[in-house]
Amino acid sequence: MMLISSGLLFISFFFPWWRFKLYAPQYPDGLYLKVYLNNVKGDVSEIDILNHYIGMKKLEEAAKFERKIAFPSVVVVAFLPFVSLLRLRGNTLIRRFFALFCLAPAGFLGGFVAGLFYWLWRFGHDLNPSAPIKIQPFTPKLLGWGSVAQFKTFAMFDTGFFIALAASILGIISCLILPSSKETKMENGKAILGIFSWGRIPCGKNK
Amino acid sequence: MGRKLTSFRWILAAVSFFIAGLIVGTIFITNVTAQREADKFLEIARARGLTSEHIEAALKTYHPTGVKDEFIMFSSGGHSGQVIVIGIPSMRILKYIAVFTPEPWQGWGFDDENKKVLQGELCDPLRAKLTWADTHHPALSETNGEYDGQFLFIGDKANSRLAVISLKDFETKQIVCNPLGYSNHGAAFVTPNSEYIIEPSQYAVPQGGAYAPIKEYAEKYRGYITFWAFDRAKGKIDISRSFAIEAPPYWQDLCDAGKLASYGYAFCNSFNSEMATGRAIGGKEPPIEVGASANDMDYLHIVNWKKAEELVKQGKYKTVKGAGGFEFKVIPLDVAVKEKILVLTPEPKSPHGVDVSPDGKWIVVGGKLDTHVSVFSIEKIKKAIDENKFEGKDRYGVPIIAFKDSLEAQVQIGLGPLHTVFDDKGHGYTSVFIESVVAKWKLGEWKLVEKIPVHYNIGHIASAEGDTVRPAGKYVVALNKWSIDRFNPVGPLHPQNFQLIDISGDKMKLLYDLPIPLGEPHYAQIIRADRLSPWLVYPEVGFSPVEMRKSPKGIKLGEEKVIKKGNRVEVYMTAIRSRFTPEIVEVDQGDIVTFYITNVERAREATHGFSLGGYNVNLSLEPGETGVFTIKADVPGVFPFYCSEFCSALHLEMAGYLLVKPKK
Repeated sequence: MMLISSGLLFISFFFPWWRFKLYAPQYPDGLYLKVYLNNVKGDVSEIDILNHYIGMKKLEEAAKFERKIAFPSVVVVAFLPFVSLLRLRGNTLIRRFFALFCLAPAGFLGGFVAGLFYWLWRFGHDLNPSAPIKIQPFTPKLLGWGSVAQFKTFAMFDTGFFIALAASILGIISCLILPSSKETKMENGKAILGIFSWGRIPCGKNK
Repeated sequence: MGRKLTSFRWILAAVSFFIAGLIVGTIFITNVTAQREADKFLEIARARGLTSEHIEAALKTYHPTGVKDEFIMFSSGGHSGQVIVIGIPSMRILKYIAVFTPEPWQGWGFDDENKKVLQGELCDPLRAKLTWADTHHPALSETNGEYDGQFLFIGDKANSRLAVISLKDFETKQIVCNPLGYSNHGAAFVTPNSEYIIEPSQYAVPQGGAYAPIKEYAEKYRGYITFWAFDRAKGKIDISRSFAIEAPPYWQDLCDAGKLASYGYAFCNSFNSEMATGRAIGGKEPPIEVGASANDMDYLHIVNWKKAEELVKQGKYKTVKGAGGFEFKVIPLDVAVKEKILVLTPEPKSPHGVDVSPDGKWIVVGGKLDTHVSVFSIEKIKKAIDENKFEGKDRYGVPIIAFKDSLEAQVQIGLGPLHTVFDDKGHGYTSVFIESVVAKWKLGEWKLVEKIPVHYNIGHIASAEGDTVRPAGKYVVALNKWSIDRFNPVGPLHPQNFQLIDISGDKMKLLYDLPIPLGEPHYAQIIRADRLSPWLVYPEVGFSPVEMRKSPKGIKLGEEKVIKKGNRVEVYMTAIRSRFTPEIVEVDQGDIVTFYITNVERAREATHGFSLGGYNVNLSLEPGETGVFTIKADVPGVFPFYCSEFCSALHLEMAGYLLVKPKK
């Protein structure tokens, strides 16, 4: 089960995680972007051309570092939950800390959303002051309908994200049922619950 | 208890009445609304004087915005030297394809590469630089006798040229001159797999563009039926495999390639078997129009091109040095006679169209001065050739099959039949010039079905895929020479009139008049729109439309540069909304400057123009295209250049300067 979870997470790398569509009268079919963990596909050049009028950076400037480390990160994160299966000695705090690796995929997902939001905010605010068209800084919508100049925009998570979401849920469930000893199951469960109830247990680093 | 029941009944009755009233009311209101709508339409029709037939025609042709046509018509553009692209049934003009004539919007004839195409291959450098053409017969490329939507060919009657157009980008890729003569008429016609493009000469001249006095007409003047080999993979005519068949100087006219039952044959008309040459000042000979109409019969030429192809492979040809010193393979008349690849049969005088039926069995000829179409049978023709059953020979020894031995039937349809096209139900539609009608007749029964008046003097006629092995039916277009009173007058030179006719029902119905304001079109062909799949942008950035691949001179954004070597300057420029890079180009007076400009856009319709004032330059740089032009910067000064295609909100700002520094 945990293997399936890590497999799914790995597969999600090859699917877009987020999509963005722009609609305007002169683009009857719309313009679209598909954001992968390491890449941006779609009408990139056309959107870059439009963005240059308002002084926005080129899309390839976005999240350069994140995109570079995306693949190794996915591989590492996909294997982290296995750590929680280990039967560990030591005090409760350390064991619970290791149990938190069950949450690694979920944390990765959260990291992606946070990163995406950051770059949307940065692109909308870090505008070239000498651009031909000056507009108020803005943050493109992360989800749902929005609007920029004559464009209506629609943003939504894409296949990869949903695959990864499934992987995260599977990962958590498998932490609770897979460990051979009842004790580990309990510790894992407590650790996961702990995140929600106490919030002060150190969180697994994902990104 | 009784009372209660009664009141319940009352309630039931009331509710029923209410519901019934609601239904009746709704029906009434709906009817009233519908009636009002109908009244409104009738009011418009009354105010504009429209009949129910007009309304029907409007309903059959009107296309709301964004709705596309079912068929696309490629029409010759006549004197314009271009091709006209028209949507059917809306009759909206979609494009003029630049072919033989410079065309500024498309940058045709301004770019170094397409200028070369325009100059042509095998063209005599001594001839005047050609800036016009008389385009006559477009021919779509075919596979198994059906249009395949890949290429279009068209001939130039005035200068005996032929052009190849790619339907990927609707641009001309090749122009060839025929070194054997100066005029053609029936060009172009393709064989069923576009193996060859047939181009018969029209006005006979001495071989190779040489001189011979008019008195030696019969001895020295000759016609040629040329078969240009087409290399589909390269998208170009392969001159090395092309050949011509020498023909008597009878003024060959239109041709058609046989198909299915008549595959391997081609049929060409002729209209001056009298060999009239006309009258000089003080001469006593009859004028050509009289001399060439003296006999009741002219000759239909039957050409076995499959066998001719074999003869060429066997080396049974001679190499003729033609105009400009260009050599061309010609099967001489004596060889053609000996091998029976050229045979004649009489046809009613001054014929125009020769059209092969979809099944290939019948060859339909319209005699311009006759009232019949004459239908010849390929079976009978083949039999006569096989059995050597000829009624005689002409003065050049070409065997003649007797009229009765080749003719299947004659259909009386009216005075002046010209061209015939076909539908999917076994009908022929013939344009009848003198009577100004389209005549519908039944193949096999050889009976006239119906005639419909057209306005006026119909020349050619086109039907949907009507000259292929599988006609689509539905529409016929009458290509009328005169419009007289059909449109608002625009001076003494009137537009032509294309009339769309609905042939889907039992009766033909006139639907639409389209004025053609560009030149006198001749033939047109109509293809199903779904057979075409043109590019919407060029497949990659830095594409050369002439070479049909990426140009070594094409660059990406950021690779712009200016290279100067002595007095040669190369400018590698990009165009993107809304700037050229570089925007300032400095050269010295006398420099030879070549611009390689790449439109790096990938968006549909993000076309940029490049116009340089003072130097007669206008390029059309479609998304992905690399354009090239060279100027000698001999005039010092500062010359603005700008994007001549409205590309964006900052289009006017898309400009720059060419500075030509004066010599000290």
